[in-house]
Amino acid sequence: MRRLIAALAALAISAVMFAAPAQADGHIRIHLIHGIPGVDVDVEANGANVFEGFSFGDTQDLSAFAGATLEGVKVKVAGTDTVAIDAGDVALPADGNFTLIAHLDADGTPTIGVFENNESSTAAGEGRITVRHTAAAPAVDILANGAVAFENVPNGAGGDADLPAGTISAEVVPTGATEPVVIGPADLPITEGANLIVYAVGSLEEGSLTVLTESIEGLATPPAAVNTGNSPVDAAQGVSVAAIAGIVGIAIAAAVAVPAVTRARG
Amino acid sequence: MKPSTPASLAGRTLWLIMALAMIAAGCASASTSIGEPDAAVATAAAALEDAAEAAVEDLDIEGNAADTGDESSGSTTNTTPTAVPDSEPDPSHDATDTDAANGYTTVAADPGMDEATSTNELGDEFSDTELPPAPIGFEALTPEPGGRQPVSMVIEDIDVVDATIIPVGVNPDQTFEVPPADQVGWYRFGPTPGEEGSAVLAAHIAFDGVDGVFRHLADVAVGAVVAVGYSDGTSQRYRIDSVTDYFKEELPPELFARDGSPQLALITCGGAFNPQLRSYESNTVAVATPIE
Repeated sequence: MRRLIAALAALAISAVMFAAPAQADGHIRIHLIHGIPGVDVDVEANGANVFEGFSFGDTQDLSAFAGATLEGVKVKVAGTDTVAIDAGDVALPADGNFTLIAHLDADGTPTIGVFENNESSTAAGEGRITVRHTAAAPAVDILANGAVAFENVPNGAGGDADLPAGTISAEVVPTGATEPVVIGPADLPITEGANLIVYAVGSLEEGSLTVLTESIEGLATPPAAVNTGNSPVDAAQGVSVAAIAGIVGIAIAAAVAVPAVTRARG
Repeated sequence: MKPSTPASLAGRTLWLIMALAMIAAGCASASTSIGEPDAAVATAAAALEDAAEAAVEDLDIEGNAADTGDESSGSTTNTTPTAVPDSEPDPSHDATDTDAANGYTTVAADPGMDEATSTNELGDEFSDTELPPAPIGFEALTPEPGGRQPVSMVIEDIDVVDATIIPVGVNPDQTFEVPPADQVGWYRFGPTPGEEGSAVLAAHIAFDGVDGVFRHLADVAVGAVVAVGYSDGTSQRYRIDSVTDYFKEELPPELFARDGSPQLALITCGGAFNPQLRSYESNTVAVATPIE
């Protein structure tokens, strides 16, 4: 525990040193996800453990270290010195929105993937779906509502799409094939103004395939306009008033004219 | 943020999804064993040690952001040439956040696929993969309404008597989906009235010569009461705090805020009517807050 505290203190100092200019840009979000099923790990940086007992599916917020360089980053099997991933020095970005995920590559070797998340605003009424292949498995096609939406996605790749809010039906198949459907069909919620990020993790061969998700919110855009009228209220009143006046006028004229005519005849 | 589908749906589906479950074809055999709990640790340790030997020394995220279209760009350093661009199929992105996004660097990765993988011949093309744009047809289905919703409105001060409220979204041109003249539209992507944020309720002032529900919104008195009825049979009273005209292009986005103190934003049209455009130049906005 003493080592952990010391490491955190050291990191905090370096984070302060590096983060100060970074914060000028305002926005930073760096998350670290553990995406390797079945193995608890410790994360070492600057010579000491910074996270211990980090479990599959857990997320750590690294935003405080924005702009800092973590030296000698190692991911180790929890409670041991067995190094799973030796990532060397890791320079964290000064600003932006990133997700780091410890996962298996296509061959089942542990690795760290770095994704910059798409923080652009979504159009009014739309949400964003992102899929990322971070599992020990070959490339796949991802079908949405029966059509190929993402084609030939290999480990380490992904993509996103903005869609009207609602639900899509998703299936995953081998690249270039229509079957077997290895996942789905399953309904995916597209939430307006939010980005649902889906990670495929685990290993096909080991039968440990599953998914992890994270969500980024606050991307919504208000409607382009609120058009709540296509006819004039004043003019409408004017027309009716004029009509009434016209009718009254005709009536008066008739009332005056008819007796006059009658009189003339008489 | 309110999901547009029930939370239970989301929870149920997330786990099922996209397990990009990958193909039956064999993948490399170096994967970590996750079989039996006890054996797993030992096996994993062995596999992880192997992995460490192949590990690279430097991982520089900033290098990825430079240009994923060119894997050799930036300062990314890998022992294996496996920087894989994570293409962004959505064509609506700004240039600045399109391909710069999702720069992806693998550490200690081996792009070679198992020889037996007949359906995946990635080979040298591994790092050049570009994902195509989402095709036509990749569209969401109509969401199911769910949860507590506003269903009716009374504003005695301006003769709004039990007007029907329906959930609405946006038109294809992303403008507010205003309902027929005799109804009020609740912007279902925003907050439910009474919950955190600014709940938007919009109605016509006049449509095709027929007065809309909010025909007299501009005349509503500050302090007037707005009563909203909900689908669960409850109701909530609100007090008009302000009435303001904005040019349409200057309508404050905060009126659609998803967080902050609960308020209603009642919106209709106002200002001069343009007969050519058949449109008003302004929006009249009445803001109301809950009465305890």
